[in-house]
Amino acid sequence: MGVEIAGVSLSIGGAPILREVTAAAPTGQVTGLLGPNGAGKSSLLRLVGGIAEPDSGRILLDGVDLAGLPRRERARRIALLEQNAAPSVDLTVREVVLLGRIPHRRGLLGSFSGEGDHEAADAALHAAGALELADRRWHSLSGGQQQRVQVARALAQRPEVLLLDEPTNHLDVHAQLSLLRRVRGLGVTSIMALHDLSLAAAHCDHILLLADGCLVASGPPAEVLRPDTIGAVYRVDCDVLAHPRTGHPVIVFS
Amino acid sequence: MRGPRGRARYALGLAATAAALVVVAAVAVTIGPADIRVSDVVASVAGHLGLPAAELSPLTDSIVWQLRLPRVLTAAAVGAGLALSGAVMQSVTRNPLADPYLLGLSSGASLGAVAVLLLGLGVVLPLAAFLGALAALVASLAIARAGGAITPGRAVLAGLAIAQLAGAATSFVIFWSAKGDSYREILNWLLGSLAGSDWSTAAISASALAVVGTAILLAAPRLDAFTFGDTAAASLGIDVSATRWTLLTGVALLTGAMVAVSGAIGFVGLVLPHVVRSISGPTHRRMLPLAALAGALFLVVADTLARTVFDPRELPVGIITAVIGVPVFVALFTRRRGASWG
Repeated sequence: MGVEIAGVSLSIGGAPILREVTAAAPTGQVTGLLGPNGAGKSSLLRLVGGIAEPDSGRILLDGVDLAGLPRRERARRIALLEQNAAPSVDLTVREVVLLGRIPHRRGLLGSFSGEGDHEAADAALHAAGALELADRRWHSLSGGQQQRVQVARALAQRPEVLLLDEPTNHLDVHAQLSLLRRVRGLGVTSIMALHDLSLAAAHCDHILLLADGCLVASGPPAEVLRPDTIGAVYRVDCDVLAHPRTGHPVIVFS
Repeated sequence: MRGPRGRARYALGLAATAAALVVVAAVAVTIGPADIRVSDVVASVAGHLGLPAAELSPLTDSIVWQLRLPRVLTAAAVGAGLALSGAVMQSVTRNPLADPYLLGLSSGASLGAVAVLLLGLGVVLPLAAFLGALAALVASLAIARAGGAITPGRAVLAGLAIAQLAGAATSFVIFWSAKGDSYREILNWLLGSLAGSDWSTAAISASALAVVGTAILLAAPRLDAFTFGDTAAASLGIDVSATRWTLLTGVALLTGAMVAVSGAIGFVGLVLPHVVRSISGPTHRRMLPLAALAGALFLVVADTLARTVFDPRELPVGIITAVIGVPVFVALFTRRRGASWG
């Protein structure tokens, strides 16, 4: 089942951002969301995350319409990692990760001191490969470490669906690869906006290709990432090779 | 610094601050032209609460109970309210420079209060101050929003403009309608003064603090959710816009009540949350109670200085809070260079 996007349209200030997008992200798989700048990737992620509502169309989570879910219930099922998020105050890593427990707290005086919260935070830090950072301060971390902590914060929500908006931005190659491998290793249904086509080909099970607010192609990387499709969407001249060791598509530009 | 040991240390710090507040408040009552001892303060308070107490001369008792105690209690409530308001403003706008003073709330409240007092408009004073604060808030955010999203920098600039305008309007209203001592009046409203404190000001400020302060403490987890911005808060299940407007309205109410009794006292709401955050950490459930206590303690001390340093002349307390607050602010600023203050 996973996430189903059914005929979703959105316009902001009269400008169409998404037009009748129908797509699906299968359960337990990593779906890559590709497309040029302004294609509507971030907007689509915000809709799936329930941050904004579509003008028309529906988003279904395991067959349930997202619009019918209370906010907190939604936040317990879907976590969103936005681009370039930074805190306004200097928090420790554990404090950042504990923020992910907010939707799980009950009563008027939700409390951080519940033992369940700390266990969930530790588990999330472990899964994100950031347990050794737990007592560091956010502002002392490198970009790659911050991104791992963000993943941990999202995992602390115990989500069924993980949404990541260009999580590899500003990361060095090693940090990019380790982050993408980790996300795939989680086994959580994930939708991830990416710019690097070869990275997407190697680390996603499924690709959605957006252009100008429309879904242009969807399917396994090898089916979607073909020279004619890429050429038309990105207006570039390219070739697709097979990776000498893994066989994944590698896109080279000329 | 977290975990069971951190919690114990925090609880200890909170208890120590509360105890310090009680002691400092009692000592503050003894300070002044008439010679009064702490034991007199205890006796007077106990006597009025119907507890067994030592005999006290009527003069001493009335100095304690009618003059100094209401003033100290008003200072404590106003200090707590301003520190809480500043903390909430900083979190909700994600702006380390935000405080009621900066976003024009205090100036708007002053204008509302002065207009009622001097023009004789038939509205209750705290209500007028609240409406003034709310009007200033709405105007600031409307200007900040015009032509784009509300960013921290735009909010500060808009608040600055509104604060200047409301300050000028307040001065003009006083100039136009008051006679004789009007310049002292202007100073008191613009820089803040607790000289007019009595039991009614203590009641107004304490009840506003009790009601709005409780609501703010209950909202602590929601304030945490704003740490990474609006989108992150929304993805944590928070109704961002409703939460923000509710909290800002609460802050306007609190600021209005505080300004109605004391004028616009600066720097308490700006500096205290930063000092406290560096001790308690930024988690609001821990930070807010300590900020309220520290704000109360700070303003009791500042007001005691204001009425004694140049005795028998009295300084506007805003001068004292600025003289203490600015160096502390600068010290925090330089120490935290490279952190989140850009």
